[in-house]
Amino acid sequence: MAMVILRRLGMAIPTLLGVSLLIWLLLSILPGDPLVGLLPQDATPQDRVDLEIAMGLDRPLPVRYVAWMGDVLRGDFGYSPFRRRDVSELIATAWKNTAVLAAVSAGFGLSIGLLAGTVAGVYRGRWIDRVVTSFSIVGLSVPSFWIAILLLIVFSAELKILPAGGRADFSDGLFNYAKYLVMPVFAGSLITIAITARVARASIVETYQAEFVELLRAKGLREWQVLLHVGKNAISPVLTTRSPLGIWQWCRPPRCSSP
Amino acid sequence: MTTLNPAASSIAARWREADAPAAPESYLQAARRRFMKHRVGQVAFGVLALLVLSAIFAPILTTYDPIVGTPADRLKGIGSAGHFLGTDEQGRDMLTRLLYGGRLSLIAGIVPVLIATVIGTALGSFSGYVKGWVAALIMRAMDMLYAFPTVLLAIAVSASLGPGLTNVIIAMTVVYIAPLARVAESATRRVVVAEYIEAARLTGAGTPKILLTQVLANIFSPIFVYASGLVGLSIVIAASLSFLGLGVKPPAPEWGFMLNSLRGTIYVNPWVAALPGFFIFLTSISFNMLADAIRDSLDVRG
Repeated sequence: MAMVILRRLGMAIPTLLGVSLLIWLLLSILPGDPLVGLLPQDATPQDRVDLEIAMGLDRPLPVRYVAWMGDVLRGDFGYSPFRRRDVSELIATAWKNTAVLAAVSAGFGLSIGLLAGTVAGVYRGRWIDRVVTSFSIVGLSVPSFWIAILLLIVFSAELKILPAGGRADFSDGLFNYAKYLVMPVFAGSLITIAITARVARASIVETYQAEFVELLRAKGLREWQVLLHVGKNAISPVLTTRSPLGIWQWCRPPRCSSP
Repeated sequence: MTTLNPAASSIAARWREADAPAAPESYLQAARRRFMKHRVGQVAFGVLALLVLSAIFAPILTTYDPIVGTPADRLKGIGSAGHFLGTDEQGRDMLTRLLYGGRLSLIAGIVPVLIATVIGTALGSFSGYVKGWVAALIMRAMDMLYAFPTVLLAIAVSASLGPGLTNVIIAMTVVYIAPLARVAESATRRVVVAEYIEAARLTGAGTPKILLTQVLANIFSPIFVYASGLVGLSIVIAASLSFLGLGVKPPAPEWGFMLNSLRGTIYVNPWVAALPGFFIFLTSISFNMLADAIRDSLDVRG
């Protein structure tokens, strides 16, 4: 297992390098002038050349990529002339809130999705299955920014019980802290719930058809004991085939549209 | 053809009759029969047909101007006299903007999937059939593209191209080529080992001919099912791009952009502000349901 994880992580390195190269190339090659807004209105062509040399933009592309990558590996992400701050500083101020939001959304979405998918898979064909299946197709289709606006309308504009934005610190108490998280987490995890429920349901239904289930029943196990075995066998495809990080899932098209 | 042995040919004719009692229904006939029984799929198809038709015939259905409003009539609620669905922050009739908005939203959602399906199928079936280093190179490039979070890649490309419908279409096409090429490649790999490919090769057919006549027909179903499943997502992503200001240029009506520009009015006129999102949702869920119906009808396990 450790080897598998290590190998997976090893495979991520070339992918990450490729991704960095692609993003970098996109920003460098596609139309758009990095010097616009930095040069004064009355800049001469000579000013432009000088600024290019000062920022290193006169060097050939491969040299610039290698230099940038070297800096990144040493922890230097560069300086943003627009915001007049170091990029690492800009990221540092944002990453904590992003991480909290992503982690809570992923955890919430995954657990609710697993629960709903399992219930639907166990009671397949019954009304609860139909409710979960319909809900998950809604969750897959709904734009999360629209859900966010609907939540704002209902809970902040009409009922006035949740804040429309901002954040609290941990020192304000867990309840106040959570108040700011409720709406973004719900809007952000909806699609995770939908996808996880869909995959979990399919996996549970498929596992129930395996022969060992017949054997377990023949041995006289109760239905909840059978479910424990089925669940253990059904969970790995849910966890492995869909890297189940909320944000990540939201960003990918589903690999297939199986029910 | 000369018949050497009349008896043998009559036996063969009887075998054919035994094999096929009635005229057997073809794959597509069976698919159509299954779709005819799929009520959810038909409802979804009906809703989409209505949405498309109302977008096309918007100028006939409404007399208001989608761009120029009457500032005196701004922010009217749903059901106001003369404005069935209210007005927006510039006094433009919401129903009119929503009908016209469907044009751009539908185009921005559907066209990229269509183009990407053509390109992805070409790349994928070529790589799956020809193999070799060129194919490996193509597929590794596809893997890299696929590693990108979809929305992030779409944002990156359209941000560097600048706003505008064409650029949104280009950005989203780039995003969908990779997954479609992968689906096409794996479907092709399943097909190339089949005996009829061998048979086609033995008749002397070249690679392009086999790809076009044998492979394409047999990988069509899984690709079509996958692509139709992408349209629902594509509608939402296209709308998110304009919601973020990366889509069509204002004041052209587009659902995602309308949702954004009405965001400030949710305390004044909340339910009118939520309307564009409802249309995005309705379109997206209809496409998803239609895609499920198509998958069931074409009988593709996937």
